[in-house]
Amino acid sequence: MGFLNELGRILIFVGKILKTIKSKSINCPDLSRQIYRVTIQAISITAFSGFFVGAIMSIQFNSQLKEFGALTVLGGLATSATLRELGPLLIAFMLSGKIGAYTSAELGTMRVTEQIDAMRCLGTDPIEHLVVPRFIAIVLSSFILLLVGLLSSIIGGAALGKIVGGLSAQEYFNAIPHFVTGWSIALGLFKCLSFGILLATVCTYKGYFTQGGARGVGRSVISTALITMVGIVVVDWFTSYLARSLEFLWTS
Amino acid sequence: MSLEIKKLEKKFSNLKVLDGIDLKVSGGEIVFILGRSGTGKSVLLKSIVGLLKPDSGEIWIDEEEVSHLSEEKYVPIRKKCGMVFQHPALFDSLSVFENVAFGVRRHFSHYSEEKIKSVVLESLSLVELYGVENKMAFEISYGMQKRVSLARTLAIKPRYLLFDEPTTGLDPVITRAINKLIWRLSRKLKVTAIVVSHDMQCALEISDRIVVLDQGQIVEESNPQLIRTSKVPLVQEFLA
Amino acid sequence: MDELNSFETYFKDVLRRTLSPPWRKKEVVIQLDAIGVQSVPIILFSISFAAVVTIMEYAYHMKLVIQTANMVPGFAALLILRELGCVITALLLASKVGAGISAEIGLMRITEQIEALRLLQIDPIRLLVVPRVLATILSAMALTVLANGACVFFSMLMSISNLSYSMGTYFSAMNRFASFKDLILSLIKAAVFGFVIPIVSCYYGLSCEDGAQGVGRATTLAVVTNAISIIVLDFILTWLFSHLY
Repeated sequence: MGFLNELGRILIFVGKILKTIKSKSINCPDLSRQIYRVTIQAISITAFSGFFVGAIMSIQFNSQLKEFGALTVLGGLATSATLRELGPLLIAFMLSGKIGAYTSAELGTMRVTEQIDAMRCLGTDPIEHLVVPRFIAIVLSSFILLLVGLLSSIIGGAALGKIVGGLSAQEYFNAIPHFVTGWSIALGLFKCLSFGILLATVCTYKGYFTQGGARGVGRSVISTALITMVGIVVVDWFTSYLARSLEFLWTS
Repeated sequence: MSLEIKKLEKKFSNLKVLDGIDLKVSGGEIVFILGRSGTGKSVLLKSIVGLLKPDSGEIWIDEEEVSHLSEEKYVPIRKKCGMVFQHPALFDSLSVFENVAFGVRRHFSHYSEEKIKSVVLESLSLVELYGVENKMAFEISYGMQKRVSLARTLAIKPRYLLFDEPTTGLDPVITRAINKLIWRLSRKLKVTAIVVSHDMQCALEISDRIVVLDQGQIVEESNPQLIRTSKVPLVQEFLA
Repeated sequence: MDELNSFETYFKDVLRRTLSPPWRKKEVVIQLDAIGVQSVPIILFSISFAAVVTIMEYAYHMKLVIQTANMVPGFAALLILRELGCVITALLLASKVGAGISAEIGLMRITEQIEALRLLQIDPIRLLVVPRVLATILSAMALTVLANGACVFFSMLMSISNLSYSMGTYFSAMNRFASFKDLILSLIKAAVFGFVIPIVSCYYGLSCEDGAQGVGRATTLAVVTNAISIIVLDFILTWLFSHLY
């Protein structure tokens, strides 16, 4: 099956990346430049979207909670749901759109304009020089962006909690520590890591092995978007299931 | 100093792009490899510098067989064998200076900044570019980019220069200029030049030998004086 | 429509031509297939996973708030119909269709096919943009219905297996909370999303800059702008609709 073939190639590619990280010293200025660029590129849209997602959740949960007279828990509920589910999911979508598409387009363009071949001819390993810094940057920035997204969703949720449900900001924030457990935080972080690795792998792989001129670049971006989307959903499911079982075992 | 290719074969999903190529190039020669688009000429060049691995056959560069070497072991070969790509392939995020210095920094890591600067300026002057070192790669014209690309390869002082369609898509004025540049550099720096092209005019002007490729095989090998007498129909079409 | 001077001019052009015949039915059908039919597997696949996770998370949080998971199917059904079905479908379309359309049209732009069309007195907007707009609106709505159905189905499976519900109790719980109105509202959301995505994507495709770089930029911009638009529009629509709940 062609799919298994591709999967094998991706694993080999990741293997090369990991080997490079382990053996060679990473070019620090390059790496920090990439981290900066990835984070800055995605930070405003993450904050922006986070606000709205928090707001949407407030509106949706507001009516459901009012039925139980449990409106005061809105802050805790919304934040917990964001940390465990929507936050990592949202970050992954945002990153996949902004950074994923951008990186695969950038590497793809470099490939079809023969810059990657030129690099090899000039004595530099393109994986070490181009791929590894981007890979690490994407994984690391997932964490930073989760924090940003979470904070802005709290603000958005609180704002709408006030407007739609008449909750004061104080009430909203107070509920948070009651609902957000250590496990929830660990789950959120683990999901972020998984999504980050998934995205970093897919967009660098697709970009690096682009073929076929401008059309090929378009194709790489589309594949990256698709595979990442599906991958995120699957990884989300697996990690949720895993965490749930672990949590269950731990608490019982 | 010589480059020899023996029975080189390369297949891409059932299409035999190179079907038993035998070629010997002596030091200081300018050899033109002509053929229609998509006939494996680029594949031949890329195999020589190890960007592609042949399915079978041998590549001898200065008495060393290189076709089986790993990526890491190929680095010194690429120092000897510089390739100039069809696209300028300049690194967009770097300045012209940094582009030309790129290979120098990797292959000659012991050079001081002073030395690197002088090598870069020297290479740029060889392609007759002055005062553009600090411009960004994307800020200069396409013709200039092509020359910077050449300077970048010259900077690592290779003994062999491989050109992949150096004048394709350029206007006749620049084409003539680049053609002359290839000839002058080859004579002045005493490098061996292998030029892949589909421009017979350029070949007739500066080459020592012309090789014509068709369907993965060499169908004609001659010099500019005698090539007009070739009986091969494809060659006659190129000459028309 | 020489160079796309502004989005505003473009938008008005598209709107005018979408609302007046002729509509190039053959093109619309081709696009319906490319956008709608070919998205079905990926939507179903993603939604089934999303449904499972939603139920799990809901059960977890319900237990925290009211110590029982009795109301999960009811509440989950609400969230599915009001949010999940249409938004996940829209986000998936934003990526897949957004990238696809902008890359396709961008490529046509840089290979000068758009200019060729105009020289042949064919209006590129009528030929390229309008069919995609119509097709995406219809596909988004149809896919949302499909997504809602699949989501409900898988949530039901989860509820039966994990929360010891029966099919009967699941549906009665669902009926108690969700109503036909929610379905209609979700279709309206889907239509809005389906309208925005192709308009944005075609815009970036038509104003694509030269070369491989241009295509890359166009697709990136399309995907990102689509995603953000969907989130913002979702917020606005959710707020509007909340007055109707």
